[in-house]
Amino acid sequence: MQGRPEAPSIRFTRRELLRHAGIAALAVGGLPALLEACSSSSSSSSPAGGTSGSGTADISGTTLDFYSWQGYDIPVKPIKDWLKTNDVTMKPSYINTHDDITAKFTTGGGRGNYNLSTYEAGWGPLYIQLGIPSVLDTSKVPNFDKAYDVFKPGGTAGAWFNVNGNQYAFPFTWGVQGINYQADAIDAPTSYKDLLEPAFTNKFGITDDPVATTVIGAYSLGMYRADSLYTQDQLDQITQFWMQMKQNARLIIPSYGNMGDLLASGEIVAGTPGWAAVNSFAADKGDDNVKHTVPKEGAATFCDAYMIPAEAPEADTAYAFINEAFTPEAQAAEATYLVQACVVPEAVDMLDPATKALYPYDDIEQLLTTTAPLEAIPAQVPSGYVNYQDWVKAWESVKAS
Amino acid sequence: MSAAAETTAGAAPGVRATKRRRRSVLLLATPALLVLGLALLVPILYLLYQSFIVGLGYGQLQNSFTLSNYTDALKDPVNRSIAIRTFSLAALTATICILLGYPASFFITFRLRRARNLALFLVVVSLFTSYLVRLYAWYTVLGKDGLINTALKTLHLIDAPIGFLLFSKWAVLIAFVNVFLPFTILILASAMQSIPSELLENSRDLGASAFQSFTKVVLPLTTPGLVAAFAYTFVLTSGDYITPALLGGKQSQTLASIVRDEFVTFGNQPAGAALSFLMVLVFAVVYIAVSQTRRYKGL
Repeated sequence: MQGRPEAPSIRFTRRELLRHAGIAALAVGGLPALLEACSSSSSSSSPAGGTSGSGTADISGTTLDFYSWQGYDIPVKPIKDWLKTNDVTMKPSYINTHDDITAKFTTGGGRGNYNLSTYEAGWGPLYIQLGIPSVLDTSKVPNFDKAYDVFKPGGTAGAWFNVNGNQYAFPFTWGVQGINYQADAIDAPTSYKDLLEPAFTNKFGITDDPVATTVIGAYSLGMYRADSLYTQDQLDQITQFWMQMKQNARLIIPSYGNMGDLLASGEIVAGTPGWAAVNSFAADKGDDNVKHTVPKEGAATFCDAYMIPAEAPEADTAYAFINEAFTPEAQAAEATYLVQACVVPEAVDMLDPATKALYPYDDIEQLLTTTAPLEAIPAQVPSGYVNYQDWVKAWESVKAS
Repeated sequence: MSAAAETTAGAAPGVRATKRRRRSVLLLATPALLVLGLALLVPILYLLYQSFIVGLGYGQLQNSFTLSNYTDALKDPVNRSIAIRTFSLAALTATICILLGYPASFFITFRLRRARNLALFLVVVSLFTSYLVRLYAWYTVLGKDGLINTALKTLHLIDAPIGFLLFSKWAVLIAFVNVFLPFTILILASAMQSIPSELLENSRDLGASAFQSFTKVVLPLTTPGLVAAFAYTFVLTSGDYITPALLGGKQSQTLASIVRDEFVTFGNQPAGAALSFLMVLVFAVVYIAVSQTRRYKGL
């Protein structure tokens, strides 16, 4: 694995941030607001609010204002029972792309309105830079001690969420993104390049996901780097690869949920970048034969974590939910419901054999360290490399071709 | 009392009544003006301002004047090719809606005098279904196992399902026409209903043929409706990115999806705002161009 990238340099220095906050505060209301802005800035490295220590707060009658992917609110037992027992109301708002989270907490009015969200590992450095997640109090999530070491501070995956000794999020699920296919119609593709064959002409779809397509393109061309530092020339090669794929494809699939529909209805026999959860989306439509496979080149890997956004109301409720989400029962339910991997070993024993077999729990360290390491989102890069905006622009040119 | 004094005394209540009417009108219009001003005009003006400043990405702005948001948007070859795709599809949709909607509106207005309201109700009924449901319904019509392919296979006209029916620009076009045709009919029918029936009778009495009555009376008087229907369809289709995403296959990208990327993916509001105003500029040009049609051939 390439060395984990350093957090990109802060775009606004602390002094600039205070200056901007000061100007804004004076504009809207004068000194009290300015003092508030300064005090919130100066306390940004302290844990998110709520009761101190590990004491149990009274969360009865409170609300979880949740903003993330559908399913990450774990709308099944035992979380449903926990919500009922504790008289907590879940108010979920779902996203379509990860960018929705970025937009919501930078420009979209999300700050101060949501107390529970998630982010994927690679976005961590950018989110921390933008001040989106709050620093969390680990003593309020004792169940996180049950997780595999690889997800804890100092672990390969855990390092994305614990920066400079500050815990910004708790990783609760992970997975890989290869190819979904209709097992009734075809054998599992062994390579992404199989999809370029005439047998697949107009029979597969490409998911509209600029990150996963770039990573898979890099894997397919043998140039993958976990630090995501690619040159313009390399990005051009990846773009050409996807333009070739698009020529042979039937469509650009707008979302992973839509891929489940298309596979179940027989409109396509394969889709990439895939997601194991698509299997369950198709199963919901009555098709149990949609499977997920990791081709020999590798797969895009993700690891999502619960965060409490800065300035979140009722943080204690979010802490309590997160703690509950790391019980073996909740972890097993989440892994089964989302067809994703869990992070607590005790939960693995509760999974049915088919769900358990989807991920190499015996060798997580090997997988996340060398086979399919988590990749960075190149928000800011050294000179000579392309950044995330270049990735998206390149992907737009593929779609426009 | 002199005649002059009588006149003045009589006018005073009239002036007061006029003032009262004006005040009432102003009071009645105030809520709508406030809503329009606060919810539409202010955000648009703010967006216009943003389009001339520097965007640093992820919601961060730099308050220095620049035209680069506009020049970059115009220079980008992807934007140009997608713009051609977007506006040509919108123009085609609007034209087809007019071609189909005009005779339908004419028939409903002038031939179905008693059943006119029922016919218009039936047109409106198609709007009761959710937009997304109607889009997904096209999967069951145009899909590999959809109605058309099944019918063709049953009739032994094809051996294998036709794949290009769904996920193509034609599928998008069909869906757009399906969605916007009812609106076109309503706009045109409204324009036709405002034509006094005596005008048509008079033209026939003066010896005009049915065709001449149509071209010399109906068509000129419904031109504003035609312009409105065309512009309405053109603008809304140009701004739609859901239909192309769900039905467009490999040609799913539109200008609206690029605007979305600028706002959501890059957090670059100035770039998104500039592209939006360029689209508005195109809408204005198209509207003016279409409006000019009434100048020709006596329309």
